[in-house]
Amino acid sequence: MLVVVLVAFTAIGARLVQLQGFDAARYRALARAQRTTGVTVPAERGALFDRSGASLALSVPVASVYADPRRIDDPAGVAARLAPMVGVDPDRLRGELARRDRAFVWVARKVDAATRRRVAAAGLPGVGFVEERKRHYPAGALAAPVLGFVGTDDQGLAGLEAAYDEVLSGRPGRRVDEVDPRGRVIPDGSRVVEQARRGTDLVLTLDRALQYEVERILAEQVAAAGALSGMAVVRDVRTGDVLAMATVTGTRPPVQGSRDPGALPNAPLVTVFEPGSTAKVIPIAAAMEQGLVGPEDTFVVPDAIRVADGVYRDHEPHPTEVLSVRQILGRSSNVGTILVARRLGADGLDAALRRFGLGRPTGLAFPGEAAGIVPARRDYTGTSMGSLPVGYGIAVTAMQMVDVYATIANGGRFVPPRLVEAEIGPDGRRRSRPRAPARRVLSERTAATLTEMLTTVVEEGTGRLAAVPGYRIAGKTGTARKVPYATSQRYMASFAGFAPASRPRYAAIVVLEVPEDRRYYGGEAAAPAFARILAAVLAAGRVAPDLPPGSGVAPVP
Amino acid sequence: MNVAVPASLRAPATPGRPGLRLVAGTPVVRRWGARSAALTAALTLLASVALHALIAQDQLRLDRLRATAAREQRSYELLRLQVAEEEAPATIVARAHELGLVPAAPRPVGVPTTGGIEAHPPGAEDPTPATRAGAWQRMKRHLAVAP
Repeated sequence: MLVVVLVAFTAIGARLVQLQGFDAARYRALARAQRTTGVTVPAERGALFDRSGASLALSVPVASVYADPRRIDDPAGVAARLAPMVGVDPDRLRGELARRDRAFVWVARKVDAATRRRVAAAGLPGVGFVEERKRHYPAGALAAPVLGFVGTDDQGLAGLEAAYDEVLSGRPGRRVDEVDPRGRVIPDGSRVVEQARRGTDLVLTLDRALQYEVERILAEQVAAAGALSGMAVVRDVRTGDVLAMATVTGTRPPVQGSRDPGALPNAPLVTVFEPGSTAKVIPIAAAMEQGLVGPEDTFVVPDAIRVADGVYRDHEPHPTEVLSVRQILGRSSNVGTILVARRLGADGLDAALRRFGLGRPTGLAFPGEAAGIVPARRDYTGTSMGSLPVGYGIAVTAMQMVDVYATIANGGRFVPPRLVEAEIGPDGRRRSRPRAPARRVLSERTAATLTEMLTTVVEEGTGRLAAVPGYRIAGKTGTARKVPYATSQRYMASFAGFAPASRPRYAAIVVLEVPEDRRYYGGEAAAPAFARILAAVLAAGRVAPDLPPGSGVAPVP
Repeated sequence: MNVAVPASLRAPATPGRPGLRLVAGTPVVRRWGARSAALTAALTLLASVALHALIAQDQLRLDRLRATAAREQRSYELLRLQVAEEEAPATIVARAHELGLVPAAPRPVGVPTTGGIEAHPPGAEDPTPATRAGAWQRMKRHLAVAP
């Protein structure tokens, strides 16, 4: 008898040790799960502001509707009442509500306040709300390709929303409450709250009003030129701040961006094109920098030249002429530029293209940003020294091309572009983002000479329509055929430049894809939009005109 | 009063030991002690219940205040969105069209003779309108993200 008692007590003791000792944690967790309920507290996604603090993207609280099918006795009846309120298919909802094996099904995500009120007023059993946040873009589709968009769960999927997703997201929190057997929170029960950490806001370099104006002008020009699409960039030459970056399609009416998942790409950064004549400034700048040519040095320029097995022509036939380097640039002579590039040599040309930043991303770390294409020196063919100097055989982004002109405008110093000016942390403190280091590409003297030469393009050359009353504009037209050259009569028309030439502040580029046949030259299709954009930018920047008295008047928008 | 006790029942006589006697009053003290303990226990229990009720009451009040704060914050954020939408360029342009306004024609102004007069000196930061950004920076740290 004693043995039986001892064995029984030993067994009970052993079980006790197992329950209270070895399995204690598991049972504690089970007990806690039974009497507590946990809710994830979503972190508010950081906002996107323009440079003056105007909101471009905000997250606001909204409710999502859920149901607990176990507590719904009449799925068909509840579905019939609920579906029209939230705008979902009644049959699908009835099927979801009939799944008694589940405790949670979404009914509708992120509904508006009125819908929430209607659902709450209906008082349907087993139907509740979850607090969530929804991304809003108060300015609509403004700068949509730049800002990008987020998914249903607020994760960045494109544009800056994706590039800075980690910074913007913050850290979700959690609240655990003690509940009674019916799931109601006990007022003085235990409560553990882990605070969510609000996301960091980003202050962009974009100027909302300017962005709107640039998009509007570009859309009008795309429509007027009958182009497939257009892109434009405006940046501050001293700081590298990108003030506006626009992408427009040529539908009727033109679309100024969209926030659909299949939305427009941010063309100035992700689309590459052969720049054509806007790139002629590179070999000429490099040759001047090395002292191989001066602005008044002359060349005997026929209207065609053979390079290996290719023949390169000027865009209009002309007798053989003696042209200065200034005239070559002003008239955008292909043959003249090739002759200048010959003095520079293949190695010099390759080095110049790379020194200006072509063939590599700008450093903006924008999702999908293209590096462009610059052939390696070892891959040069016989015709490379005919194609490359006139902007063929390479591919650039609009941002890279405007950087070239901004470098000249900035006295030869390349200041990397930037899109994010500062961050505002969860504590409300603003911290400027560090600037990428600048580097010298050209001497100040060469840059000044080139600036003077580029004003000739607008005042006497191919870029007359880029003129802005009251201001000296420096810039260059570009007209490049799209591949395949043999069969295509389609062109990319562009104009890149800066103003005011006496003390440059802003650089810009306008590129139109396939303007209609009659007016496909950059000087006709792109230059007028460039002029309107620069006029708006100079007025917004309160930059005084730099032309001498009597030379013109400045429009006040 | 002396009573005669048989010698067999008499305790052996020990020199110096006092005789046994009854102590009066002990049951009264014990009774009072028990009552005090009961009273103390009752008071403690009552105080505990009262305290518990107060805590529960305050917790409910706190919950209500939190709900109010959350509601007000939600309202603030929705108003902030509304302001941002109202001041968006496209909204202003659309409203201007509704009101019958038309874009002003470019108005010529005299050109300064020296040129180079700029609102922002070279190298100076653009003056940032302090109102919007500053207000948000002040407000942000006070906005709770806890439920």
